[in-house]
Amino acid sequence: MAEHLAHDAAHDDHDHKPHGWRRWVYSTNHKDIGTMYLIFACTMFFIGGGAAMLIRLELFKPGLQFFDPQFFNSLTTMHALIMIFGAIMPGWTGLANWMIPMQVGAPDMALPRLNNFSFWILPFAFTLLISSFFVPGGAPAGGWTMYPPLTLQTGASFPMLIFSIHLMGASSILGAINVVVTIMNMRAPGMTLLRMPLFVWTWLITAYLLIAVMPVLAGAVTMMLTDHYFGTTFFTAAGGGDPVMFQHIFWFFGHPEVYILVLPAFGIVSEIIPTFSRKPLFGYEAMVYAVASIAFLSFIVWAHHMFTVGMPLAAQLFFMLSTMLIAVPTGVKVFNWTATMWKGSLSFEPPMLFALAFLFLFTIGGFSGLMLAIVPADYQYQDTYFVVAHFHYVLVPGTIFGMMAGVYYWLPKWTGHMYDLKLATWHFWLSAIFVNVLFFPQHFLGLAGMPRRIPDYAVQFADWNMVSSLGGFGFGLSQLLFPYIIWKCVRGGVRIGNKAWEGAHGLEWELPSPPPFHSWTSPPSEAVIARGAAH
Amino acid sequence: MASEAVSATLSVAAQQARRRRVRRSALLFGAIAAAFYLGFIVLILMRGR
Repeated sequence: MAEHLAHDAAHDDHDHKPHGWRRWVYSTNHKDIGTMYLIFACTMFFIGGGAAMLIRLELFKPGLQFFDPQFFNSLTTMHALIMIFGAIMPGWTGLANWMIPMQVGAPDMALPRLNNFSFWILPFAFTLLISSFFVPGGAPAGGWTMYPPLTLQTGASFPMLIFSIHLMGASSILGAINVVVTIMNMRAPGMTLLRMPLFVWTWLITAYLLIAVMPVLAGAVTMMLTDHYFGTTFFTAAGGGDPVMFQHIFWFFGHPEVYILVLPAFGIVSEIIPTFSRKPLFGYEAMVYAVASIAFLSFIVWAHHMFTVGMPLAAQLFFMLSTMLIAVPTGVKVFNWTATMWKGSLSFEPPMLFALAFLFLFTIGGFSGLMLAIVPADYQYQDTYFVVAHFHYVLVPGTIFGMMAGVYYWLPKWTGHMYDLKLATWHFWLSAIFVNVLFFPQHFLGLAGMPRRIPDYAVQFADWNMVSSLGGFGFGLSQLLFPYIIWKCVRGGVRIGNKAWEGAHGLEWELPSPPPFHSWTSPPSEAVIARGAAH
Repeated sequence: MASEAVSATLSVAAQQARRRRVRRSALLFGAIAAAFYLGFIVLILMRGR
């Protein structure tokens, strides 16, 4: 063993980069695996986005236009599954793969082979899921929440759904274990926990959430599988089972999942705002504790998703108040981001624009979340378009904008070139305008009583649906700029030095751009770490 | 980078210790995930009895 390690150390400075397809299929390099995750996430974003455009096409006018209701339900179900498990989660894992080793001064992830395995599970999982469109009975149509008894009536695609969920879950859990183990064991000497960048902190907490809740979802769908094929009655009322129990288990996973999707965006915004304000982050430690508090609270609020199933008054009050409590640490974060900008020397490059849009629009999503937390109000809003508007404000200008901000922030580091700033600014403004045209009218539709998950609706909802659909087409088409800007940047552009942005701090900016195949083959010195941790 | 990224390259013994820590913590978190998976199924089974 010792000889083996010595041999490894002696060859550390060699570039063992394989070539051709082997570089990607057999890759154990965190940057290559990160790139594959990001390409995969982008592909899924456009497939899931295509499903969303079809949904908005059908809803452009009242009456059934193009699709039968069963296919429409399949579209809503698959849109959610693809976006959540295929676009957002792998997108964050891709960013984690790229950035965490560079930010903590490690040469690679702690478990590189596991890293390769957790990525390569995903293409199989999603090929299986998406191919369910072509089996008799069509793709799953019971909603991404997979509530029984409806989902138990799914046809030939049922086992495909269950198996793909298991595969996605396995991939996420393995990726999360890798992140936690890397952060806890691979930090450079001197990189203490409270010197870590906020992106690393938010990912550490996200990874803990993933390890705790993804197995719960896997357990729930395993029980569904046995209910369907092996005669058990976990969730089948006819045999003494309890369908509402599934909802409790699902949302025990589902609510922390919301924070799994958004916490890394908090980390990225906490990196970008100080950079473009030319000021240290206001209240670094408070930000860390706020993220930890949000993660803890996310475990004790799940039943606010299901107030209308009926529950004791004490339970309603508990879940209402604990949900409202989340506004406190979230408010701390919004306050600290704003205070970071206060009297800063601000500039508005694309990452900062996306981060600011995140700040404003995620806050709108947070406020409508507070409205939904109020039990008697929730009785009215439940299953209306108000809920759709709320979670899309959290997930699109929240999560997706946060991810785009991160890509625009670190893309010059990854490629060594500055991207087309003008085109990226166009991408921002088109996205920011159309996302509001798309989702803001859905608040009005929901408050007026339009139910979600329907392919047809009463004529009084026609105008705002048309506006929303136009916003959807505009938003969808403007996203085509994103891969084009990245592709153009990868192919060439103005070369940049170690630092793409003069206000940036962090170990990643101490490395050359693009960074070498193996990042920190020897750990950075104390001086370099102290310079990077300027918060 | 090369000039400043010098300091402590890990010794062979330290690398071995780190590999052990990595393996142990990966197994621990894997066990926690498995416990959540099985725990919830057992919980529902117990509730149904």
